Amino acid sequence: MPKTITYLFLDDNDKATRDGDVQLLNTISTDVEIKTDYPLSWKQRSKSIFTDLDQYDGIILDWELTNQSEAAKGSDEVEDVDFSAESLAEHLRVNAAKKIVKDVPIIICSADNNRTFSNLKNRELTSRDLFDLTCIKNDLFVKHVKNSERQLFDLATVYKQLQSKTFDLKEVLDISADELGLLDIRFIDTLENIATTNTTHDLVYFLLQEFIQKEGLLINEAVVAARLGIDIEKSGTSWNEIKKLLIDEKVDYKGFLSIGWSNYWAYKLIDWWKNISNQDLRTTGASVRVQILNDKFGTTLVPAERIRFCSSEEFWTICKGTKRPLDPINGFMIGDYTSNPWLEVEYVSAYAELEKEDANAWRISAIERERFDKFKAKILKNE
Amino acid sequence: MSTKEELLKLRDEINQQLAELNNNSVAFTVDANIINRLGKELIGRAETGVSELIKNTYDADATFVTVDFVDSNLTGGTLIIDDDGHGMTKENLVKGFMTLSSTSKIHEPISPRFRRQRAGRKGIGRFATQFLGEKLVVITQVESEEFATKITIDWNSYEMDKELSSIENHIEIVAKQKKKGTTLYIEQLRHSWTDAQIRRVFRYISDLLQPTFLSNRSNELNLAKQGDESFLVECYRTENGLRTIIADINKLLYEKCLAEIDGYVTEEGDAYVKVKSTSFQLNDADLEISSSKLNNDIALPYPVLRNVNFKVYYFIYDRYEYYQNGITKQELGRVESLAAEQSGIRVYRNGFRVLPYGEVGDDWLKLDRQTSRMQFELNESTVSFNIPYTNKNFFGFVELIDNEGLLFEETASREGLIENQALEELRDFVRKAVTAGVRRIAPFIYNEKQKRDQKKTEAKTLKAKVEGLQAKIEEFTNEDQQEDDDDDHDTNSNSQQHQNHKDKKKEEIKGLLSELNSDLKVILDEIAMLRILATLGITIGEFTHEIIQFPIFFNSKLQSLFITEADPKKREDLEQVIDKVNHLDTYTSYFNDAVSRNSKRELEFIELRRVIRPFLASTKWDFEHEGINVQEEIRGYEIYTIQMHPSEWHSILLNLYTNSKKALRRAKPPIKKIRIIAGKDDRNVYLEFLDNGDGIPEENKDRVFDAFFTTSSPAGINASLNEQLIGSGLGLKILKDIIAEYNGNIFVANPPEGYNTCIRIEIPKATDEQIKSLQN
Repeated sequence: MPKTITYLFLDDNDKATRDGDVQLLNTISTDVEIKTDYPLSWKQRSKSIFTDLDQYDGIILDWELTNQSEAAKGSDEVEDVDFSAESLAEHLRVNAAKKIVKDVPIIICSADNNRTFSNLKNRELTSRDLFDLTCIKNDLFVKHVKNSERQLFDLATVYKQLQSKTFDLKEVLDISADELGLLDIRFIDTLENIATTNTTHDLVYFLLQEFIQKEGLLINEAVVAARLGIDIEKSGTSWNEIKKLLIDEKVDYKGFLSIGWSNYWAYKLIDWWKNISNQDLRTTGASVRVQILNDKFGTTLVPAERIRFCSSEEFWTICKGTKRPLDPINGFMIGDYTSNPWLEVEYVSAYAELEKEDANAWRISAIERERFDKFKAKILKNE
Repeated sequence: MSTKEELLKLRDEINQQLAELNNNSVAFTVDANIINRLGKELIGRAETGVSELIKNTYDADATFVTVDFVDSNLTGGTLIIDDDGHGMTKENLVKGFMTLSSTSKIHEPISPRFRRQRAGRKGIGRFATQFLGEKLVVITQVESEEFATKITIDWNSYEMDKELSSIENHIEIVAKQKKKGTTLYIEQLRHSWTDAQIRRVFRYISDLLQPTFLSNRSNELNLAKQGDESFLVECYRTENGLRTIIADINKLLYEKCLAEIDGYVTEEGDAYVKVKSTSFQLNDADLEISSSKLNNDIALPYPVLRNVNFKVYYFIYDRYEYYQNGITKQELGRVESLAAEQSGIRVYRNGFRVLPYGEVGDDWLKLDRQTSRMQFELNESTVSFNIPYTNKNFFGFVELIDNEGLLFEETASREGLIENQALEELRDFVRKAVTAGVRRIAPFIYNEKQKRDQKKTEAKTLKAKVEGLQAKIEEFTNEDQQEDDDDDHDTNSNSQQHQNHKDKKKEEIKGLLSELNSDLKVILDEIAMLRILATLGITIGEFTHEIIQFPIFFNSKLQSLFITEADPKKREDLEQVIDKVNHLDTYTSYFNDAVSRNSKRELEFIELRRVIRPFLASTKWDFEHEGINVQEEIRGYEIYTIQMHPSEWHSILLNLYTNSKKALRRAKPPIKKIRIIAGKDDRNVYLEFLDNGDGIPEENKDRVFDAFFTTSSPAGINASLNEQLIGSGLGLKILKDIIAEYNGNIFVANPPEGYNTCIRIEIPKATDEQIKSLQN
């Protein structure tokens, strides 16, 4: 059965290596096929890419295109690659905006997880909308291959859908008109604005960055567990039972980009809880939440424990460092100040901040600094 | 008017009449003040004066001279120079000593008895006595006469406007004081004398000194007599009747050698050697020397050789830091220049010197022809390095006691001993004994060398030295300039002082230069080594960069195969391969990370958990594979070092881990444990790396950080560079260098219960302000 989605992977390795790299993804996927090609020179590729797109639904670029590898040398593909992944992506984006070429997802990957590439990932070096995804090659093709396969499929499908139909907010979010009224109006307004005035890639970028991949209107599995006070690992199959219940009750998100990224509606979780208990979820401790759930569903859920130096078990989010449940009152805000109002603030626990291995992983906001310093002084004194 | 006065008056008149008679000729008359002027102009310095007088005793074939400065802390003291030379008859005294510019030294350039090359400058002695003191008393006697002659000269009577010959000196016959020899009493000394000045006198004449060749053993056993040919000088100071020795040859030179090697062959032909060194606190007695050429395990006696003693003083020049016996740099330099003419191992037969053995250029023991590379075992490892032991490094003698002439026979031409078995055995014995002696010292030298190498690699020291040298040179040139400016106003003694001052400065500059030179050698060696390592590092960088993409390929392919493979056996194989590829991936990522961090040259404040944890994550597979239980114990938070390169911690941890792994493999404990402790105290952050391997023996604790120290067995001759580097023993030395650069410390600490080794690293910690600035 022919696969529905085809990606082009441009990499300066020899054919055997390129094909080998994508073999696992091609093997496991029934929907996605990745074909590989040598990038060639700018003169050749900048033209051929337009005709290429007749056959492809997306592009994957190796970031280090100009660093011709030893392996490629001596092969027939001797022509030097003289352009960067960014320039090709820019070329495609500009021409897509002019409607000269169809808009497709562009994914960039790098074998080497160095600082420069991380910055690229954090969008510090590129214009904001060049790449839909920025990945470590090993994660993309091996380590998280199942996830990436779903995401590649989803992205290409969503691009196609958005370009083939008129934009319908309710369809995109898979939500009724009534429910739409429950969402932050500013989010709805921005989304509709982008959908009517901007390109497909702008819209996908907005969905990924301001909706799908961040906590706010949607929350991921870990935050769901935190809000229910559950320790996922210790709860084992009981957690799967709860997840099944949530899906049955349509708490999960089913709109665009829900195949590649699993999410739940934050407000629907609260509604779901209200049907179980009349205790306020936010101000109930984890052990009580879990007790209620276990009593109601006969599960053996285990309540999550507090992170070291934390006092509250009324968990609502997860700590950015430890990824464990955290009550924001015990957390310290991180991140910039420009985030959209419908998104939740990210927090880190004092423990994670003190134990953090990568100094650049996050930064406590200046407004929280003083509070943290006082708290730290208290901890260090007791240590 | 006495008869004598009348005669003198008559002589003057005759002279005058002769002059008048002979209108065509005129004679010089000499003003008495010439003595003063000659004294000042010819001698210049007091020390030179005294040394000239001692040289005169050498020329008189003296063997033992005492120089005594009596009450001479201030001016007005007395200097007594007493020798056992041939002495003077009254006639010698008058014709020689009392005749200015006498020709005896020109006529007889070689001393009568010992055939010494005359050392004194002609006719200087008497002026020296005038320069030194206001009054001179000479008492001298010869062996053949029953009395002594005494002359008293008051130099103050040699005033201006007097005819030189008109000044009378008192001469008398007195009772003999000793068999032969001369004693000078220089009274009313014009200078005060410090100990340093007295030692300087001694140094001026030290090239004349001949060692006493009576070995301790033959002295004790009364086997041989003190030889006649030696020339010994002792300098004393007497204050208030108390006499103390200031300088003698042993005190000044030979006792300050690096080692004394002393050997003998008994009546039975058994041979032994003793080595003594105060610098290294070494005193090894009676080491056996075997006559056998082959087997050194059982010492065989010499078949023919009997009754030989030898003693040598061993010096290594240019290595002042080896000496712990109070020798000064100047003294060592003095010995070195002395070595040009006096070094070597001489042979004395029944108290008489046998030439040419031990003369300059003679190499009867073939010491100069040997290789100076010495190999020896040091704490289970073989060490090989250069230690100098050529003739130049020894001062010494061999004493043959062979009264009947049974063993040795001199050639008819008196040019050495006839080549016979005894001589061959003698060569064999002395050579082996000297080598054995040096071998005993070698490990100490080696350690010193290591210490020195370490010390000298410190950039600071080097910088300080260069600055010191610069300052010295500037000082020197400035003074030179000044001197040129006021040259005309200088008196002679001032210019002498200047010269002396300049010489001293020059010596200091030379010393600093030679130190810098040897530092430079050490640094160049190290740079060569580092260059090799750097090349290797670049190669590793390229390698990891290239290889980083392969695990993706392998994994992608292998897992595809795994998914499509139905055969359980093949699936199992594939699973194993996938596991190994993942291990490779972890390693590669770690090194790739290390390399990319390394390319970043900025320094960072480093929180220890941020280097320990990535390290543990990347080596997890390895230590699990090795069956090592690794624990981390980080005490407290914000354990920040001062600014360092993050990659340096990669090196530190990887090196320590590799060492521990080896120690655990050797010891094979039931539970292999490694524990990494980190924390901070008031001044430092610390890291302790513990294991329960085979531990470090006490004697190696200080040495494990030395370059090339290793307990690994040496790599074979065909081993690859990689194998050689891994066991090269450079690891801890590099760590030490890294840590020293940050004024930190690395040492072997006492391990807690349950562990056998603890390497502790201390690095100054970042200040609270610095930590705070990091977070804002």
